[in-house]
Amino acid sequence: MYQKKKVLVIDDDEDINKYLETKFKLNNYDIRCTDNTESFLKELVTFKPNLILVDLNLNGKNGFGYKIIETVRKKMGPELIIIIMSRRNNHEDIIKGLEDGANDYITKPLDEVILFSKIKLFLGQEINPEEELAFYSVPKGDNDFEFHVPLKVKRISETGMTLFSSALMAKETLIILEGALANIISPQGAVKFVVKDVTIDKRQNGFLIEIEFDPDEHSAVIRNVRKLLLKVAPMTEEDLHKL
Amino acid sequence: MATSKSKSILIVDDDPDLRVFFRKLLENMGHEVFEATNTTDAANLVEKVVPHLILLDINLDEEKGFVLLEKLKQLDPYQRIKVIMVSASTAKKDIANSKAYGVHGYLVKPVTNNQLVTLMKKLQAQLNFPNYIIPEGQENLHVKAKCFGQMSKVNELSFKFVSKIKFNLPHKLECSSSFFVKHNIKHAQFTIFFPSVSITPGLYETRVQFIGLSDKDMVAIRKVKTKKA
Amino acid sequence: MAIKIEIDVDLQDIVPGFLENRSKDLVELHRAVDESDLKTIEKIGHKVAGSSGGYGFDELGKMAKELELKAMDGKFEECVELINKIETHLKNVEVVFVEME
Repeated sequence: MYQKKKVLVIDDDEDINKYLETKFKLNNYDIRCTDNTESFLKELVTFKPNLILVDLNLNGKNGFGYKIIETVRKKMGPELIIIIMSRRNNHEDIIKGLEDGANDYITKPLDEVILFSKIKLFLGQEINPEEELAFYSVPKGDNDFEFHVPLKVKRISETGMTLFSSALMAKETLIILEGALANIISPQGAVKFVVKDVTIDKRQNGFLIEIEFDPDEHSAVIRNVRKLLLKVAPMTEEDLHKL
Repeated sequence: MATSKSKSILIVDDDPDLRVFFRKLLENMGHEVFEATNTTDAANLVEKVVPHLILLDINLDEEKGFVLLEKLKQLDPYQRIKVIMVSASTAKKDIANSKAYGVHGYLVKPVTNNQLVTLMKKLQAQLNFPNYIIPEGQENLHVKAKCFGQMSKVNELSFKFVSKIKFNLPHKLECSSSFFVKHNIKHAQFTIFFPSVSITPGLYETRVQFIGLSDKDMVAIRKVKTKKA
Repeated sequence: MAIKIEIDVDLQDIVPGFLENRSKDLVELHRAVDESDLKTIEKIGHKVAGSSGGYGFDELGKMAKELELKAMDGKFEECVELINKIETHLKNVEVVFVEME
């Protein structure tokens, strides 16, 4: 049987609450709105919502919403989706809200399209492509993009390394290794590599990325790797069996 | 040009002619050579360059070569560095002492070209340090890969970028772009919710949601109306 | 009366340096003789015995080894004789570089 997703709102503005109640009902959600902390906390336990909308400035008290976010996150754990609503726009407020445990932030006055796009996204509901906001091309001059993929080191030797990644890195991808290990093996704290080989690691649900040291380009790195390997105890019988 | 066969070798001998001789032959074989005339300098070099192999003269000017072997107990507790003793002496005591320390060979002076070449051929395979394999659950050496791509599309809630990386699991993405700087949205968090989609083999499009944008930020993005993607 | 010695061509660059050091050794050996310093003679003999063979100067190496032993035994006169022999050898030696297996 199809279960409606449950949404709980806390906002001291009656008009907002009426608006949200209407819109959510129309979109087939099970919705409850409260305007005070006491009834909110009660409903949290009895209604058991999937998602809550929290006004940041309840009762005119600036930032009172933060306390609620913190308390709720601690009490309900990571599964509950918390979205903050606020008239305020500044970045510090937003960052603080996210740090206190909110999943996202939406500014008032509420935009219906944006509101429901976010709700559906966080609740894992299917989004109708026609309902999606139109995409625009990113201008060529600004479209450069750098990102970091966290990796686990599985093997280090004088010839190269094996790294575990949950994301697939195609062969010949250019990467720059950074982080604690890179600081150890390279004076610059960053080493450029080209992915040599990739294999699937079914057991750990990811991929094993192989990179090779070039004796010329990475001569300092190879030396620093030896410094590291010098102090590593040999594998015991037990370790070997585990492999 | 170094190859993976090139090893790092430290010569410890107080005779300059012997050091020149060994250096010449070893460099001809493609190896990297370091020299020391005493065990103090030798120990410092061991720490600095971590050679694969040490050619150690027993009778140095002011001390016996064995002093270095004592120092190596601390510097190289797992005996990764191979040591070959070199000496004019065939004295039983010297040979016995060398054995006791667990060195990997003994060369008697005068050493010829052939003897050195034969020795290096024999040792070559054993000189590389063993692999360090990190057991599962103990991966505490942190590293991240900085990767490159291109942003392709954007709307007020998300953007798409193209790269050689295919994401499978949802996760928070550490990323940067001139686009973010230009539109003052660097403060946003970026989260991947959906697996990347393959465009061509080896090239993937990944969708990233903006988290924590104010409506002012969204207005700035809306202004990027060069053309509908 | 030249003494021809065949030496590995790989060592071409370093033989001149070796021979120069031997000239310096001779200066020291002469001084040691003047001062009756057997210890220095023994030391130089030991050193040259250890390196000569590698460079291809086998004869020189043998003489140096003998010099070391005689000095150890305190046989001063025989040392002086050997030093002269070594000096003559080095004056007359002619090096030919050849490809060696």
